[in-house]
Amino acid sequence: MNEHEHKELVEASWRRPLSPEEEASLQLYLASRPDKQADWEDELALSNGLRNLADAPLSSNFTSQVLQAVDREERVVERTTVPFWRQWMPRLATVATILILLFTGVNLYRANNQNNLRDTIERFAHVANTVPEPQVFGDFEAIHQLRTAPQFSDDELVAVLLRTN
Amino acid sequence: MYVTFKHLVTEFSHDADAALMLRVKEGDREAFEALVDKYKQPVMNMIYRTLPDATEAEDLAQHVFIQVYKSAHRYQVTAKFSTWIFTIARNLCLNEIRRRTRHPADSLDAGSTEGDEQPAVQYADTRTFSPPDALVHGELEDKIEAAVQALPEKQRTALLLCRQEEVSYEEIAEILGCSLSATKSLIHRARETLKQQLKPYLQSGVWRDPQK
Repeated sequence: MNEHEHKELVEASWRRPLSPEEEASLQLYLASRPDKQADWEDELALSNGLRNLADAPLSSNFTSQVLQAVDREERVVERTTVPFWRQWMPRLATVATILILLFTGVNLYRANNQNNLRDTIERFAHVANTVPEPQVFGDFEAIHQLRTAPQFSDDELVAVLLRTN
Repeated sequence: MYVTFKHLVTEFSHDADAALMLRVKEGDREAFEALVDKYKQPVMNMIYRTLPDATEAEDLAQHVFIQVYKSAHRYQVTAKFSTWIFTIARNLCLNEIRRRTRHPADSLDAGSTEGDEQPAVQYADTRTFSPPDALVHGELEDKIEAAVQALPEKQRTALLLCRQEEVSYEEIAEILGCSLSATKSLIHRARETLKQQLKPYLQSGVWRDPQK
C-alpha cells in the first residue's frame, strides 16, 4: 500500500467502517509506518464518536404535523386561486353599496336644496305681490327718520299741536 | 465487494426515492408521507446541529418538507432526491442564520456563522487532563456535539453529510456548491479541528470500540 492508497482508506473510514480486507491492508501499512499509528487511532476514534452521535430529538408525530402543515398550505393556495369573480364579488358588492348610498345622499341633498329654493322663490313672489305701489314710498325717508328722532311725550306733542293751531 | 454491494443498495434506494418523488409530483400523499418518514431524521440531525434548539430545528425541518412538497412540480429525476432535500435544508438553515444575524437578539452563538473561518468558540486545552474511562458516554457526546456545533458552517455541513453513507462526496460537493477536492478539504479540516479539541477524549480509548 502506498501513501495515496492509505489516504483513500482513511477517507473511506470517514464514511463507513472498513471491511476486514481493508482493515488488514491498513494494519499491514501501519506496521511499516509506526509514525502514522497514533493519527490513525485518532481518526478511528473520531469516526466512531461521530458515528455514535445520538439522533436529534424529533416529535413522534412529526410526519402528521408535516402533513397538516401541507394541508394548510394547500388551503392557502386554493384561497389564492379562486375565480376572479368570486374573489372580487364581496368587494364589488361593498363598493356598489357605498356608491348607491352616496348617490342617494347626494340626490336627497340636491332635492332638499331645490325645495328650499322653490320655497324662497314662492315667498319672494308672495311678498312681491303684496308690496304697495311705489308712490306709497314717497314719504319713506321722512317716516324712516322718525325712528331716529328724539322721543316726545304725549303732553309735549299736544302742546305743539295747540301752538301750531 | 462490500463497496459494490453497498453502492447497489444505495442506487436502488435513490431510484426508490425518485419514484416516490414522481408520485408526489402527481399529488400522491402516501408517497410524500413515505419520503418524510425516511428523511425526517437525517434532515433533523443536520438542522439540529446548525440550530441547536430542538423546537426551532423541528420547525425548520417541517419547512424543509413543506418546501419539498411545494416544489415537487419542479423536481427532475436527474437530480438525486437526497441531494435536493439536503440542499433545501442547508439553504433554509443559512436563511435562518442570516435572519438571526440581522436580528442579534435572536442570534445563534457566534460559532455558527457562515463561511469557512476559524471556529469562534474555542475550548480550553485539556491535553494534560485525562478523563477517566468511567466517564459517561453522555458527557463525551456533549463534548463532540459542542465541538461540531462550533465548526464553521461549511465544515460542519460537510462533516455531517459525510456521516450519511447514502450521500456521496460528489453529492456533498453539489449541496455545498464547491468542488470535490474543496469538499474533501473541508471535511479534512473539520476533522483536524475536532481531533485537536477532543484529543484527550480520543486518546482515552472510549471511542475506539465501535460497539460502545
